[in-house]
Amino acid sequence: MILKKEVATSTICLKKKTMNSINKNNYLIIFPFIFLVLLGLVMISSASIFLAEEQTLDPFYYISRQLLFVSVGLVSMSIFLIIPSSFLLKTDWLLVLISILLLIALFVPNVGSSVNGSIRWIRLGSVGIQPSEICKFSLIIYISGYCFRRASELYSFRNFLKPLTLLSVISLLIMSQPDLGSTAIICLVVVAILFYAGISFFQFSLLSLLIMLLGVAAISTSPMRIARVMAFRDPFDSEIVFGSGYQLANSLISIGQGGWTGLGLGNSFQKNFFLPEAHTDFIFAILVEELGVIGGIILIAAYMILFFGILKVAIDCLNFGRVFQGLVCFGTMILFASQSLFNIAVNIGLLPTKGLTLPFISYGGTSIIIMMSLVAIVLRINNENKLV
Amino acid sequence: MQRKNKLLNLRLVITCAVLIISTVAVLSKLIFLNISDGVFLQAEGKKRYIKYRETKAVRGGIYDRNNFPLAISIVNYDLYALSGLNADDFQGLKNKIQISDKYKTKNEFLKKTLLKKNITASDYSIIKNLKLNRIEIEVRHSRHYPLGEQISPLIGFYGKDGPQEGMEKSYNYLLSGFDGKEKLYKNAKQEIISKPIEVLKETQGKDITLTIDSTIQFFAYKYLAEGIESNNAKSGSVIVLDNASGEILAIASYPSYNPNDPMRVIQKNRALVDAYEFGSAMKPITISAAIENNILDKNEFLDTPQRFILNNKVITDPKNYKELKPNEIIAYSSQVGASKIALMLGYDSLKNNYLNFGFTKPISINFPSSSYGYMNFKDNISDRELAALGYGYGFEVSPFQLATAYSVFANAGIYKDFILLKDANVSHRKVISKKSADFIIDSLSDVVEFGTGKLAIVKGFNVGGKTSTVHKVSSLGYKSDSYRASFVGIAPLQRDSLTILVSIEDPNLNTYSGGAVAAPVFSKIAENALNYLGY
Repeated sequence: MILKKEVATSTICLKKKTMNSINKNNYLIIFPFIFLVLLGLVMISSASIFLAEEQTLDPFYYISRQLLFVSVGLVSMSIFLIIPSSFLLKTDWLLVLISILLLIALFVPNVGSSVNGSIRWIRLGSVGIQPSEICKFSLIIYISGYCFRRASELYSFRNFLKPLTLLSVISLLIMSQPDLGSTAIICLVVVAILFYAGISFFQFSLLSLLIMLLGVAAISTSPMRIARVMAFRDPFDSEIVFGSGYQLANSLISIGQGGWTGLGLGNSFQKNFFLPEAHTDFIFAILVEELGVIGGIILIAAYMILFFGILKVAIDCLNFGRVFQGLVCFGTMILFASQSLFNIAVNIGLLPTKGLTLPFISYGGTSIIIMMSLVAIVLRINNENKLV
Repeated sequence: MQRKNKLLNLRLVITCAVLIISTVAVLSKLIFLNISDGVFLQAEGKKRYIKYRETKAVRGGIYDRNNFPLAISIVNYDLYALSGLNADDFQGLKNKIQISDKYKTKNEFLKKTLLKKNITASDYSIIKNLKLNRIEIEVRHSRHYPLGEQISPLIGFYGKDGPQEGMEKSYNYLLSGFDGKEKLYKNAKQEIISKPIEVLKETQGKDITLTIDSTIQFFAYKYLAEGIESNNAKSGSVIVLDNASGEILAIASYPSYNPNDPMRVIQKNRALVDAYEFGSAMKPITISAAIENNILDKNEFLDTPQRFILNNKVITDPKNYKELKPNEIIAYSSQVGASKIALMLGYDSLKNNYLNFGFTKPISINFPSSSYGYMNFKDNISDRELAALGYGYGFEVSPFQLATAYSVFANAGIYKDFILLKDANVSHRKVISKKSADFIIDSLSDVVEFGTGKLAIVKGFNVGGKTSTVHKVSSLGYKSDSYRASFVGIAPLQRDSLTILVSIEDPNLNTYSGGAVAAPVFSKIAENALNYLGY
């Protein structure tokens, strides 16, 4: 009797501890998430105001669209909060199939829409869908599901080869848009999930080496990419400062101008058409220009809290034996982390210029909806842990 | 399971480590950029979006003693289309204001184009109200010279290349003021995106007021020009000085040019820039020294044969005057008499006397390339050279220096540094006694009464002066067929008089003497000026 009571008490204690941890995870995810989305809206409205007026005569064109995307994202979040994570496990193949079909659809004339020589969007009336963003989402789900299903057999060559084949197909499709940045992110996420799921260090090293070689090959075969790598070394070189170094030079100027405390919200000079893609790829530079290095550090801190929260959910799941859910959360964290760090690194000249958006902050419908959905899935998984 | 968990933990640690290292790398680069490259990057930014524009200071005006404008700046507004002005905006502009049809077919402006010069005030406000982006109104200052060629050799002009010649050049430091600077922000399309921010306020140029009287200047220029044309001469100059106040009333030079004409051809100011031998006009100065030093009594007769031989050179007078008193030497302009007086004076006295009268020294007014005159100082000088120095050969003075020297006689022996700026100080010093000066004045009166300058007579006034006729000098020596005829005189012969100098170059060879060519011009200028001034 006493024993029973003790067990019951300890179970309740454990349960209480778990509940506390789950609630804490919720806060760690929800607060930085809301902060990032709101900051994104503020920064987009500031960074895009002149471009929007120039292009559409409506200075609030981009921000009103982004508000619409965020609203759709909220709807999508509600859906994913309702759907049990096990349902995702069942339908992961469908998600990948849809992604691949969308990627292929880009190459159908009059479906894919070309911007700056890259075909990255499927136009549907006034909105565009970016299949590579959807791919990120579905690959996280699918690879996690695959690793869960073949957890004990990943060491075998055949089971290792299968996800790699899928990755190669998708990489090839995205590379031919061309979009090296997204390809790199997708490879990184997939490899990270595989690594975490338990492939051998040898397999991991081999895979990393292979991807790196392919990356080098991709860069060295494209004159534009070589130019960007060269420009990255000294963007202010007089020969390239108005050519391949233009974006990076102006991004660095933005950051330099911001100083510690920034010029104040809305006061960026570089958004007056000096810095191209001010509201998308280079929004971080505008953020630092207006809010300073301190603003940049706060942004990175918010990301870190978010990553930490998601990672805690992943660890909780694995502790509860929910491998699929754990890997999905882990993959999500890796996607957010790699894409935000990549983007910031490009903005500050630590990596050559790549077309990558800053999660939650940059303008872009598909991206924000996918990112928000992933956050919803993580929240759902976290709260499912209560029932275990 | 245990092993697997351990492995998982290791992988987690690796993943987190990579993440943390990347984050630290990003953060340190961000901070490093700010610390080490901040200044450079901010400078690069400013290079791109800050534009400085000069705000032009309005150039000061030049006025005569009665505030009549001699040079004034007018602010004009010019309308420009900037590159990128589209057809619709241009059409809108054209509907509102009159624009030359030259641009009718233009679809778009590819570079900055002048649409309309000197837009009116109403056009200005219409354009401002349209608030077009690719339109600029530029401020332009234009310089105007109401008296035109009458005074241009004195005033000079301010042209495209800045101040040229004359007062415009010498007083540029007062007139120009300082341009201001304003800061504008522009975007990457080079469009101005801010209101101008004043960085440096412009300092407007100062006005200057001259002692010139534009009416007397008009008489001086008019009669000089007439005199030169009627004598088929080439050039000449006139100076009118107010002896009592030490002010310059007129400086005319001919030929002149229209400073308002962009195609103007500059003419020098012959009264200030040229220096030449004045010959007989120096005799009164030499004689004043002899009288002053008591070497010569004013009633003493000197033998003046027609021929006087010095160092194998014959000095001749037009006729044999036999004997002359000093005043008659001046009146008849006797070469022989002046030579003898120079010999009596000696080289040092003669030279120092000239220096006392201001020759070979900088003139009292600030004028570009003004002439000092020239005298060759020697230790040993032959009698012949000494005699020549006495009657005004062998050294050069500018017309302005000579006129100043003559004012000494009118001012009872006091030399004044004549001024051109209204409120400047007139410095003065005693050169000869009043007695000596009065004697010369009487002699100058004799010149007009019965001597070589009868044509200088002015109706209703006593005037006096001295004629001078010299051979012009070429590289080969004196030219036998080229003269300079001058008359320098005082009118009227009382306190508060004017010194008027007329010098005419290359009159025709029928009448070329100072008495015939320059004296009548003196007479006309003196008569008009004295009547105008209410004497």
